[in-house]
Amino acid sequence: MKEVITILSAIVLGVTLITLIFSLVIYILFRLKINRKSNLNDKKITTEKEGEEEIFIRYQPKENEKN
Amino acid sequence: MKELLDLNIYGKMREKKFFITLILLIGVTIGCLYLLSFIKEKINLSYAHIFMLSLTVLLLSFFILLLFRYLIILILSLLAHFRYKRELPKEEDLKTISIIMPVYNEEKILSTVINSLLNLNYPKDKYEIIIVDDGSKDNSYQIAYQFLKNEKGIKLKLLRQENQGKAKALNRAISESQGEIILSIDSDCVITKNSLIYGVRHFRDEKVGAVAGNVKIWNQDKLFMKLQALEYMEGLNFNRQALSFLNKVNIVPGAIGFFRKEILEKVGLYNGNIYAEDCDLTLRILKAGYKVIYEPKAVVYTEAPESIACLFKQRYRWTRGILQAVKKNNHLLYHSKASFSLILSYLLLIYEAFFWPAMNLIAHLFFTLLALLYGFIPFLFIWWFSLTLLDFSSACYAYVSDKKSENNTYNNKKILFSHLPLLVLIYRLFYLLLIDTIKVFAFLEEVLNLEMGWQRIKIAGKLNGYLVKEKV
Repeated sequence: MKEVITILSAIVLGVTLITLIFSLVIYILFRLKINRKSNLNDKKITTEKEGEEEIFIRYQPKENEKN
Repeated sequence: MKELLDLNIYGKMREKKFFITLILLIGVTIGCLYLLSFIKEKINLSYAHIFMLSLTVLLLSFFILLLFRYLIILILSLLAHFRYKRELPKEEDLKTISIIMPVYNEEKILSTVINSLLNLNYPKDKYEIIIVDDGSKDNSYQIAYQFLKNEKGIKLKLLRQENQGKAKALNRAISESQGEIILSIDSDCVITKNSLIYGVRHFRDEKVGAVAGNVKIWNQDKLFMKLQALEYMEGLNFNRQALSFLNKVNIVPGAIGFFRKEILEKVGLYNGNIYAEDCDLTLRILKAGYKVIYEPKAVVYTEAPESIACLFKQRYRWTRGILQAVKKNNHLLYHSKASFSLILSYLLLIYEAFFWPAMNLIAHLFFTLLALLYGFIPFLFIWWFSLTLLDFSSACYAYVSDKKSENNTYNNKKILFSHLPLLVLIYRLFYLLLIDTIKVFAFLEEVLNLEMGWQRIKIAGKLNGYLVKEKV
């Protein structure tokens, strides 16, 4: 029983360590990507677009409303 | 004048409570220091040992708190379950609904989503659909345009604007709406046929301000998505059902949320400065004294992120958004009319978004260190095993409870009951630790006020299989 618990504990420990390191790596990559994007946005020359606005409505009246 | 007086009173109450909290904190710190020196003198322990001992006691207290939380959620959820015996309204009593849907680059699944909206089991003259194209760069607008020619007899309004963000698109749609009830739906979600009838039935009670629907995951074909589906079922919807008994659901999801229009106008519309605009709006409705409840049979299916990077982006955005909403509405704690259940619901939001993830992460780091430095491996195992047992019991309950909200929809990839034991093992061992780590990073970034973007999530378009699989 003791050996089983030790083996299971070792598995939990291993997976925990891997998950923690993995999360840290993903976070660092995520942060680097955001920073790179923000630098690119700063460099981009923004051009003002003309506002576009369209509205379409479609309504099929009921039979009794048609009359 | 009255409002000014109210503000003044809240300001004074806030100051008073702030000073009481400060004095309490100083008192607790002095007490701890005194206790520390007392222990050191009497038991002759080193500071390292005292630190380890204190942390163990602290983690044990958090575990008891967690146990208590699971128990409360389970009891409230059971009570809420028995309350859902409300009858469906007669056809003449059905309220008029405006379904509002902002769209941004959703060409992959937009036609499936609009088709589901046109085929709802609700009188055609009692609901309208308002689609706002928020400056899509793909063919979303053209796809939505084709549906203007639908022969269903349903009023469909298509608006187009420059890209201004989801909140502004939603507000625009609300201003164009004519229904008594607003149903906000995400453009990557497919709604089931009877959702409107089930959602609307609660609005016969004049005090109901909003109803949260049930969000489920459609693409459960891989283990990673099954884990997310389990989280939706056991983590998100289970909590909502419990809070529903108190009429204090703290997040009406953007994916499916019913709102009484006059209340939306009263509390103010969506706030574009907050990333979890749905959470912010819900807190404002609760603060105004209205009931917010959960309807498990108003179901939408959504696509879960298929990669860890996309999941990371989604949860990071959710956590920072919730923290922003919590920060903005913190005066709720000092509100003279705030009931105990409202404060509980608000605190639960903080608990789920930050407090528990941080504790879980600290526990994992602490027990891992103990294992690596001193060889005490079983501590980590006991911690993990106890949490897994808790997860398994609540997952079983959530599964059975969720079965009843199937709403006549067929999904052959969904989780089976026999999957649960193995799924819960992986869920606690890997998935939740990952999610908790993301939440802690998001919290730290929010505190440091680091820049964040919307971080769009890629979808595979698997929802297109929805209508084919729905049972008639």
